[in-house]
Amino acid sequence: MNDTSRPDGEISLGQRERLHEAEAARRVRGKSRNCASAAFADDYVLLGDNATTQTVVSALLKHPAQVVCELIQGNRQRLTLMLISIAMVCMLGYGLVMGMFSGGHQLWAVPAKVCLGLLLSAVICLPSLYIFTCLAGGDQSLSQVASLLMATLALGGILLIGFAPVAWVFSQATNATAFMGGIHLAFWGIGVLFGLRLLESALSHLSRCNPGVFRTWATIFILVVLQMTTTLRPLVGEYQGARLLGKKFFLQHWSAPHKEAHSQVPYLKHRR
Amino acid sequence: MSHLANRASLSGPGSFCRMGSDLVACVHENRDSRRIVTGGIVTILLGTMAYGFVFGMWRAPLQGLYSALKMPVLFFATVLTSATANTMLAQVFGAALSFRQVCICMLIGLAVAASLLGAFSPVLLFLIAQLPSPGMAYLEFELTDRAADPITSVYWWLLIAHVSVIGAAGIAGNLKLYRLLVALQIRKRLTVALMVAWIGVSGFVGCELSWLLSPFLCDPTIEPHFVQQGYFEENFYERMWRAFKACTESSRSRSGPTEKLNL
Repeated sequence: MNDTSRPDGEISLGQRERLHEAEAARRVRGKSRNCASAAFADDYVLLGDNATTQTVVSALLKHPAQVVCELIQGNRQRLTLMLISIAMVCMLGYGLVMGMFSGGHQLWAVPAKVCLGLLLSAVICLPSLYIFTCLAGGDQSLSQVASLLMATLALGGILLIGFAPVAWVFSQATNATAFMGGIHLAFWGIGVLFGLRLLESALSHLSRCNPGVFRTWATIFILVVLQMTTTLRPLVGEYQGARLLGKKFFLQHWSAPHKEAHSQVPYLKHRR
Repeated sequence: MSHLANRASLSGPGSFCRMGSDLVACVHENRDSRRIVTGGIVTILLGTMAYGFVFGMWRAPLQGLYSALKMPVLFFATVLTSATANTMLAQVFGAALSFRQVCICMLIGLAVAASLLGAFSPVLLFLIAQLPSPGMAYLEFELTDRAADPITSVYWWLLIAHVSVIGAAGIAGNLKLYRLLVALQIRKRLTVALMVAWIGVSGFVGCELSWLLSPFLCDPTIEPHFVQQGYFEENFYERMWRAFKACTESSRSRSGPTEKLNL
């Protein structure tokens, strides 16, 4: 790196340095990508028939390729059910922590909304993921793609559970709804990022899919989940009844969340 | 057994989107044409019906039903209307494709487009469900009335969005034909030119046919209906230009009163 950025004479020194740096960065990126796919290929072995939930959780975190291999070549049905259960338990757990910010009815409403909302988002986006995978040249079946999506949700859920104590500490230390919303969004972003990375690695390994196609789908999935959080609002804040609040785009909701809170006051009083 | 599975997998939406070597070989060697055509027709029916329902759903469920019935007709009519022109174009470009082969290629391209549209239907249905819906509250207004602006602006935006999505899916479907056309022994450069020509012809024909079969979305000031009530008042391109102008005007008026005065 030092050698490449050494000044080389009169010809536009700064420009040459920048070019060298960009080239070096590109090489590092290429190497790390190759390393990541090589590591995924090395780990691509069956998990085993007697895998317990603990083994699956551990494999998702340390050797996700084993889970993918089991889903493609092993006992897919059993593992998929296990992954759905892991994802649901994790979402319920994290939802409970989110609900603890307001307490009361939110203790049951938020876990249910988080869990069902995420599963519904996955169901909504599954057909497009399958078609995108096919367009990119993948030869996986719909059920295989669904299982891989479940692995993505399960990994995201496990990471969220890891962040749950931190979220709980913050939720007990502040009354600021927007701040807590931001914290949850950041944790969810990290979880979903790792989950989607697993899905991308799996699809690239299985059929050398074009990552651009996958990333387009990932953007749509993130949009749908973000909109789902707005549709099922309030996830952070006071309980406002079991019915859905008015129609709103998520950016509109984030830019003026208080407008709605004020407009809902008479309704809240009425309920109480 | 695996041969049977292979044959069955030739005609699903997945196989059309993959454009695998089996499918390409079948088209090239004129094998299993009936199976491929049936698969294409079923895929187009299912995909376009799903998308058609989502298209009209914003206006009313009844309009969704009408659009679900009309959308497959639009796709099949596009194939039938532009197949002759596309066969002639193929021959002009030096590709020895028969009318039958061109029809199969177009059907496969539209099956890919329909698969994409069908796959996105749940996502779009969810997003459209978040938009304010007009119901029957605007029947006494005109499309140009200021009082109806909040809902008519949604209508224009949605119209442009749907047309763009269908256009993008159609282009993606035709681009997917590249491998197939190369396998049919057309030179690569000619293949690109032929694909561009086909996209142009099918797009041009499809746009006007969509006007004849409209309304798919139905404007909020008219009750949901099946057959267009003003064929000769406008055409597809005029309508889209009007939509574009309405959208730019609504975004300008949203940006503040000072800017509006400057206009």
